[in-house]
Amino acid sequence: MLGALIAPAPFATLAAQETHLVTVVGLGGGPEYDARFFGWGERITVAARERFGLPESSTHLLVPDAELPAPATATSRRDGVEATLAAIATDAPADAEVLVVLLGHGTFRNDEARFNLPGPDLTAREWSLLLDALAPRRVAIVNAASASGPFVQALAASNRTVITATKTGRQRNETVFGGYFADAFAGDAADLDKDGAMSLLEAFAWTTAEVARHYDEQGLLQTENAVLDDDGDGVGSETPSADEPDGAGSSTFVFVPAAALELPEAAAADSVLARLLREQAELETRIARLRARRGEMDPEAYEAELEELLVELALKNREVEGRRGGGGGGR
Amino acid sequence: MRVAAAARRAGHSPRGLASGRQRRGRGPTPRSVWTLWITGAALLIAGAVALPTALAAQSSPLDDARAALVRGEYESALERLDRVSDGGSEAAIVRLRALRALGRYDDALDLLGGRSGPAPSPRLERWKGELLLEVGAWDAAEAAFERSVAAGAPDAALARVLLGEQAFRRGRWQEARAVFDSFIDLYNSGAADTGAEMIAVAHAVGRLGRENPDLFQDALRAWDEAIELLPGDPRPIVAVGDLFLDRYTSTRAMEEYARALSVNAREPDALHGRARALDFDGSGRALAVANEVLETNPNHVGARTLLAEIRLRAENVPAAVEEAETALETNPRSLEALSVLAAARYLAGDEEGWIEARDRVLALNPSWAGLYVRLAELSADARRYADAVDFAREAVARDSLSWEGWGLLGINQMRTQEVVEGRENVARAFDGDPYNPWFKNTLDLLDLMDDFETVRSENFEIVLPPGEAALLGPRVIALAEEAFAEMTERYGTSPPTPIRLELFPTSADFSVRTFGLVGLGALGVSFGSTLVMDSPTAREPGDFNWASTLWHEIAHAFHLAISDHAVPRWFSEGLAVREQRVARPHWGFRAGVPWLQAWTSERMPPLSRMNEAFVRPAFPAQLAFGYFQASLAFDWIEERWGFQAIRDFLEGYGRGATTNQLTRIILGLDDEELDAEFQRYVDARFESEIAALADLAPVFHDGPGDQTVDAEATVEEILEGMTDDLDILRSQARLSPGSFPARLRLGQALVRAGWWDEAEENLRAAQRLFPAYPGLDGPLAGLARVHQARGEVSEAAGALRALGELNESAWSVAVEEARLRAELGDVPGELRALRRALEIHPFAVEPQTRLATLAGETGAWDEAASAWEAVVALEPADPAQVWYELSRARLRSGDRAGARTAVLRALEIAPSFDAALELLLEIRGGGR
Repeated sequence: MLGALIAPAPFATLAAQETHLVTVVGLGGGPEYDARFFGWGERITVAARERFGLPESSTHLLVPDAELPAPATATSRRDGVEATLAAIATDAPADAEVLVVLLGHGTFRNDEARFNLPGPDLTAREWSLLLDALAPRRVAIVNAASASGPFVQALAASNRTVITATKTGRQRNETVFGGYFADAFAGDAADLDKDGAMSLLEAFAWTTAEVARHYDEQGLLQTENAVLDDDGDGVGSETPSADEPDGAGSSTFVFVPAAALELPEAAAADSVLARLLREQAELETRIARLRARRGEMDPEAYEAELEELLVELALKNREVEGRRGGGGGGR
Repeated sequence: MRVAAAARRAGHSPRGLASGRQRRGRGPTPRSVWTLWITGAALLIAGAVALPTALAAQSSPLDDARAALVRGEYESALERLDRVSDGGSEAAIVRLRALRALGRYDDALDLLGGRSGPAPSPRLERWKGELLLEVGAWDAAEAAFERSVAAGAPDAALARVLLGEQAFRRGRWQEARAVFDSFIDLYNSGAADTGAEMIAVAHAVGRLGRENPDLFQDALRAWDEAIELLPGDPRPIVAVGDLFLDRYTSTRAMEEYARALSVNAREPDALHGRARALDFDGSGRALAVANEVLETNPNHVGARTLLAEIRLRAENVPAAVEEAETALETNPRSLEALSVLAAARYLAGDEEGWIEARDRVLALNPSWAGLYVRLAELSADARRYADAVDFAREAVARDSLSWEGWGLLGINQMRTQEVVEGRENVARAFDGDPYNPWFKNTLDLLDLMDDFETVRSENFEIVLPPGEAALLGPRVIALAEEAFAEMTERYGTSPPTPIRLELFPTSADFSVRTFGLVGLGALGVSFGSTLVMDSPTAREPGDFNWASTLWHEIAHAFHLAISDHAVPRWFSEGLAVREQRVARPHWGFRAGVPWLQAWTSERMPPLSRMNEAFVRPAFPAQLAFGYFQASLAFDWIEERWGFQAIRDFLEGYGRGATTNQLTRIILGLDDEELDAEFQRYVDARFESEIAALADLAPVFHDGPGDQTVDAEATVEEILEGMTDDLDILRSQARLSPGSFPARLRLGQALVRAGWWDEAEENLRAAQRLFPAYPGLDGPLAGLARVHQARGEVSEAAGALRALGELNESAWSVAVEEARLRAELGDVPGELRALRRALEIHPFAVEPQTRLATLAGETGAWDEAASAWEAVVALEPADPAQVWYELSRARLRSGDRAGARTAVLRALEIAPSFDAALELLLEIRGGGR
């Protein structure tokens, strides 16, 4: 599965894209949960701004507290959520991407899943209508709440990724998914293929592995099983992959550190650098093809060929770095 | 394998009792019969009690005698029969049943004309035959049965089935089978109408079950019908209990025996069944219930034989021989009693005696596999697994239908490293006896083990669960080889190699591998050069220390080899615990409060009888205490006589000597001196702890055999629910300043209340009173909290370190200490604490990652590489990064080839990983 997490989208195309992040912190129901959910939301928002270079104007943190502690931008009451999404629907370009993250408690009663907000909750169906209004933009939503599983079926659509912390509405226990998802945003670890960018698929894979480890090390029965749906069929997968129906879409929903975007920008003005980057990309494609043939090859021959290609790639990296003046941070 | 077995079973003869056969006037379904019968019997008794006068006026002395018999008032029944002027054969049968229940077989036979010649009437011939069987007069019994059959007695069917049974017991199975088979026709033709006939059918069909196990279901059905036909007769009920017990369902068997006993609490066969079921369940109460049988019937051969077996398993050979010989005085042809006698003599090393008993069995029945099955079982109990294999092989050679024999052969072969052949034989046993849970569980486990991985080292072959080999394999090998080398030097010899070590990812699997069933509380077992134990993943972190357990089991391999498998269990267990302490001072069970209380209240056997705590503990915790107490004996022996004395014991056992003999020769002490001197040693060693616990409420509540005591109960648990009132606790501590629990409780309460200085004073006092208290609720844990609260991080870490030295499984303590050391920037201290935590539970990503990182930072690249390898095996969330770190560590430690492999793994996952690409170039020397 890990081998299929590689995001094929070149950074050059990503650089021009506009991304909006809407993080909604729900009702905690007590100081401990309030602080925990706010802390997660804060971490995601700060990482989006500082690490991935998203402007404040497109990183929205909605919180229950009307006093809007920094870096909050609006309240997470129903009207605050609706206004924030409506503004994006009105102002953002059609090729913008929107990621919505819900952190808090959820409920599932009478066949209806809700995300708990201060004041009236929003049901899965209502969230669906709000997201529909963002079309034709590419949208991803992460519901990290308990009992969030039914959101998958309710929100599934084409060009949309839906991630929920639980597989079903019956998984009602408090979840830890949100905390690890925030860690994925804030650190480098979730860049599993080390290409300098983090796709939603990678964030999902890293977070679910950490959630499993959390329960294992605590000696607890795992009461949350996250799923991801990005083929629009309304059925989430626990093990999505870039070469499976679920996983392909989210593998190209990528967050790139601001520093890494400097390289494609430099290539636009330097034809030699542009050639080196093309050659580098070709080598990566050859490696990907070789890996696809691994099962049919003699292991020693495979390893030898892989090593040769990787050495070529390593040397090409040095050439790229040399051309850039040894600036480091290749990608 | 199971499919093949099912297919073979499907090929069995289809003969059996016809199902859905209509029986005249039968209302209830078979299983509901129980309720009706018991209700009817209970009503009868209740009536007799409630209306004595009215009944006395209406009932005859014979009715009274019959009622007394049903209630088990055998003596009263006989007295009442004395007042019956002419009761005919009915009265005679009541008298015979009462005399038989009391074991007065010859008195009963006297009524029937003595041991020879015919009975007074054909109707009594079958009774006579059965009584003659009780005293082993086989020829005369068979003649009586034949007379019954020839005369067409009403119960001739029973006589005929008993003739079949005799053919079976004489080893003429083909002849017996023909007889038993005819009863299927009898039943299916609808001709089995009487209770006697139905008992005969049930018995015959049950015997045929050895060839076709499906017939056991038919036997059960027939016994149900017999119960219906014979209300008030306990025999079919007891037989149903026996059927369940022989099919390993002791719970159901117990229910049947209880039903029989609810009517007649003295019913000897039902009591015997209950004793067998208790013994089957490993309950110490079996002994008492078997003795209860003998109170009513002192000549009950089955009860005597059971007692002999129990004595033998408790390694009390003289008592076993005495019981078996007493049984044989009543019935010199009891194959079961003769088999136990042979086994007892064999285990006692009485070559001539065991051969004499064996020859007696084989003269009676050359195909009697039971002799060799018993020898195989008892040999395995005595850890003589190779002998068990030989005996089981002989059992199946004499009787190929001895499924028990095939199973014992297979299971013991697997203990002696004949794994493939052993598995085949267990499969064969399961084929013949699909009810046997040992066989089924073992085969299921072996199927599971097909996916296990094997790693090998110089002296070990280690079998590990899938996915654990990468992490655990190198650690197990390193420790196992270290133990092997150290013990080889210490003992001057070594066991046969390779030693096979199997680790199981669940305690249930380990338990099945060990004794066929789940529920074994142990952590590891040694079968000599085959060791079996829980993997660290089988339990929660902090439940046990796998490394310490492994050392313990390897010690057994040495003890068993040196003593030729003759070392008593107490000796090997106690010595293995001592070996743990010798290897690492923090390993092994420690003296906690419950053991000290058991010791001071004389609930532990003296050293000369230490084995009792192992083979038949009086209460469950006694076994755990036994390990520790026995280990003290070896501290004492080694301190006073030197380690050579211990080696001499082991060699002495190997020559067949007993503990008693060896103690005299090696230590120069008789039992009394041994016990007295050991008592003095222990009392002196724990003098201050004993004094400091003098006023603690006892953990033992209900007499000497408290079944509920937790061997590792802490003071906090013992005093759970007691007051937390500081004034009361202060007053108690003032009154008893030398009381460990008083000072500890006050210290703990003060910690909870945040009175740090006063808490420290009391906790330090408690620590001085019982410095080696191993509980995690102890003074050191309290002191750590006090120091942490005051911001004295270094002192807190020190207290936790000291606590970790007293408790080999203190995972959380080590993890917390590591955290504090990190806070202090104390890298060596943090490394030490992390190593301790990971020694207990290596399957933890965070501590392994931290250890790997710190080891790398301090230039300990070998250790860093080993820890990164562990992290890789734990399937981290970010594998490319971990492979990269592993590659770096390997390269720095000089393992260039390993570094290449690891970096390729990293780059295979993440080809654009810049740092890994640079590392690849570095591994290759800077470029191509």
